[in-house]
Amino acid sequence: MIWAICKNTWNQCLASRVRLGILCLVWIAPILQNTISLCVQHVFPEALYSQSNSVALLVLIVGSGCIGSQLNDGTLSLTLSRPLTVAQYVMSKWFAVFVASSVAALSQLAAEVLVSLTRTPALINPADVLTNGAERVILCVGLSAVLILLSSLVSGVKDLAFFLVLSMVASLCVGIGQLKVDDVPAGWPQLAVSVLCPVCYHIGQAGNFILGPMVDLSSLANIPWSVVASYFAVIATFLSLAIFSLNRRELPYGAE
Amino acid sequence: MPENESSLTIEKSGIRIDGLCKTYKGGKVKALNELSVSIEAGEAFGIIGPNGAGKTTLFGCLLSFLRPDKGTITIDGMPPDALEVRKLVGYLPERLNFDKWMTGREFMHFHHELSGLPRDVRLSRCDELLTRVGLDPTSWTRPIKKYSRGMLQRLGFAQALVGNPKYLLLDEPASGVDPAGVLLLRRLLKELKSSGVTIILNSHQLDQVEKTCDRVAFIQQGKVNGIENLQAGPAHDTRFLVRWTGFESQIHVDLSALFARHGANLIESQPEYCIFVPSGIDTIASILKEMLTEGYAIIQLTPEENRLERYFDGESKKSPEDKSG
Amino acid sequence: MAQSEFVSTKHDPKMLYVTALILTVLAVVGNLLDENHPEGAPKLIKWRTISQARVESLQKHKPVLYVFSANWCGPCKRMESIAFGRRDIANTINKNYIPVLVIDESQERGKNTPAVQKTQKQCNVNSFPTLCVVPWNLLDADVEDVFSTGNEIERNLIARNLPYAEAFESGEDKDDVSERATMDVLDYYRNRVPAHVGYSTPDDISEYLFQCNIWHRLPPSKGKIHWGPMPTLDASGKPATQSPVLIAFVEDCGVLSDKMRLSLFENDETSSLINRDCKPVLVEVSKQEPSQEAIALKKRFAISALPAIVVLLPNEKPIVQDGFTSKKHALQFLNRALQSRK
Repeated sequence: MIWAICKNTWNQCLASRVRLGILCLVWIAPILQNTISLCVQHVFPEALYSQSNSVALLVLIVGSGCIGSQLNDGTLSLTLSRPLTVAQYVMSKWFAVFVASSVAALSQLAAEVLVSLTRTPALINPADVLTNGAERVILCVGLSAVLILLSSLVSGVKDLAFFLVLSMVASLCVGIGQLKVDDVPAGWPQLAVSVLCPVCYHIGQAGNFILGPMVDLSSLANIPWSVVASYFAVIATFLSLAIFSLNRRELPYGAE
Repeated sequence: MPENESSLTIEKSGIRIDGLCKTYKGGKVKALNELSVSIEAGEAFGIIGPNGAGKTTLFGCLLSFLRPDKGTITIDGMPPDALEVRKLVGYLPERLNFDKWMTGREFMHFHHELSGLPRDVRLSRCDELLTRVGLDPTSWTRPIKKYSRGMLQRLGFAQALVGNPKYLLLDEPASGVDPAGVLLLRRLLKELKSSGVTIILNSHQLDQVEKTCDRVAFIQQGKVNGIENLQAGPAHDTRFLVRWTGFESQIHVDLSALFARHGANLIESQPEYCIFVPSGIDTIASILKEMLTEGYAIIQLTPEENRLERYFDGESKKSPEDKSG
Repeated sequence: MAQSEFVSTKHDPKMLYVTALILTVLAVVGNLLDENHPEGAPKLIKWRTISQARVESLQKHKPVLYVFSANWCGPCKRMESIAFGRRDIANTINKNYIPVLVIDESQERGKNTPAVQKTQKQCNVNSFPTLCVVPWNLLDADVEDVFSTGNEIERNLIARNLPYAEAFESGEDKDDVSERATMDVLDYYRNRVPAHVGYSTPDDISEYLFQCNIWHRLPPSKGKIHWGPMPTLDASGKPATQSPVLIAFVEDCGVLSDKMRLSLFENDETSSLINRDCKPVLVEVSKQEPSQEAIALKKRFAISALPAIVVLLPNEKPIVQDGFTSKKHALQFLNRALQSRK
């Protein structure tokens, strides 16, 4: 793990005004929403703390283009000319992204708890807060690994677009997999449906999990080991793929 | 076996490039074609060649950014992608793409830290390097996006020197630098060379190369087409220009015969000057002596052109018979 | 051979690659095992067929719970083994509903039986798993009809379950009653219970069934709590007694009040807790014409939304929770209010 790379990533994120602005907006939106429903509308939201979608957004904003933008403006070659391995570089980037996004996610949770404390102090359950916090960190760690791979494959912030396209494809696959088919003619169309639909469904479900790797901690005693294995498999595989692909990549050098 | 050991050590140091091949676009573009060259430790080695010759590709392979299809490169006996080699090599890229949001000082500190060097000397070492390359101290705290081309060049050079490298790869170091900067660069390179740093210089500015380097390789179409040893005097086939006043009509001397007597080749003959290629440096004096005796009022004798320019001049390839007469 | 001694900057971390491979294999195996859950999973729910359920529902006037599933659907399998394997969920289903497991076979066989097709259409099923509760008197109607404004069936349904039922049937000014009924219909609208789609945790299923109990609820009950009279309060609102006083404010009709009744009053655990640890007082607030006493009490404890719970402790400020979000929150509130005394 290279501390210099981590600090560089954090500073780079902070240096971009656009990124910082969008991050603040996304960070404050759920807090404002909760505050308005609690204090102004006197409507008690079912879930006191925002869910995983907002955390995923935070990770995407913090981490998009962390490697890609260096590929883009040619600074990656200079960085990798120093005595560090590509594996160290990738792991440091991952660490930097997930720490930064975890900080954002946990601070958002803290702010939401503060708001709820002023209005509905009796409804704050420390166990709930801890669980939500742990789930947020778990999502940050997992999604950062996914983002690191995407960022190492494409330049600039195209990894964001890549991510969105993959999400849509996953949803599409799930949709195909759940097609309600009526009166399919027997023979090869029926065979195709019976093979294609489950395959699409599983690919879609796998895709959805990969694009938001999470372990649900709400019933701690009942966490299926397959989910835990899947989660760590996603992280290990994606980081491996990132290192593998960067190792074999020819870095842009000159115009010839 | 001290002899074997020392020869091994000698063999291990320096850069050996052997049979390097690199193609692009699935084999259609041959950037490097069996390129072989040997660079000794401690020497200043220049690389020149026309655009598209493969110089940049060579640098890319030396820094292991590009993977050659065939051939080997060793730097101090190690492959170019070894971790140890990274500690020994500093490089100044041609394209000065630095993180624009960092200040000059932050950039230096970043590379100092990346090189694994101790924190306690960081500030002093980076400041020392920035001063050495002549970067104005007021700009050290300014973001890099505000730097001019010349400032970027200096910063890049400072960054190359961060790890006290044994090998310095410089790609167009004087491009965009003002004359004062060029002089500073030349002085710096001299200092570095005297402290034992091996310098590999890729430049289009031939006079720069000539003044700094010990040897120069001319690369064309992915191959080394000639190595000029600048430490030896002018090459035996350097062309000289001799100029005189007075009218040739008063002097009836068969110049070509005169030159032929001394084993020299008359390339071009004009009323007030001629160009010849002596067979050896030592014959020039006797040629001049005879011309003076014949009555030529010689006012100038210089090598006709920059010796490296020859490589770029198609003329040098033509035989004297084609040119004279 | 000398080259292998040097650590390359591009060296592949083989340990990481091997770990990733092993974990991936484990994950795939685990997920496959999950989907084809072992035969030993408890079959606690007494499933009926579609036709059996229809007959039984009309006979007993109990709503039917359709569980739409498919063989290729992983979450359905998980739901069946985990959620329906839980005793409390299985008991609720067996007690309050007539459960039917409708399995979609259109991918394997090309099409479903007419009965399955009709039921899926009725409940507007698009993905799996879907749970849908259909009341006995709507077994032949499109469930969507139930959610359309002004529909006669819906009014009947609501009217039957509200205090207005009597007024409605006794022939009181129907327009007037209908208007009041409509207001409550709209109240119900905001909290209506659609079908439940997808599966993530057993608690979701439990919550859905809880909501369904409201929709198809029995008349409002006071539950198992031994309500007592309002004790005398001193000027600062503190009770004279030593044990805490729990004042429950509920509306005579309203979904949130109904939820609170179900979750606190009719629940064994909470009702015994309340009976044991405090003196409970019930204040039923009429929605149409709230009594002066009720209004005064609301003002005294600064209650802005109903239902509400006020816990009065002997030497402390009253603890108020107005509004109701979920059963879970109500339980939490109660536990903390009563524990704070200890």
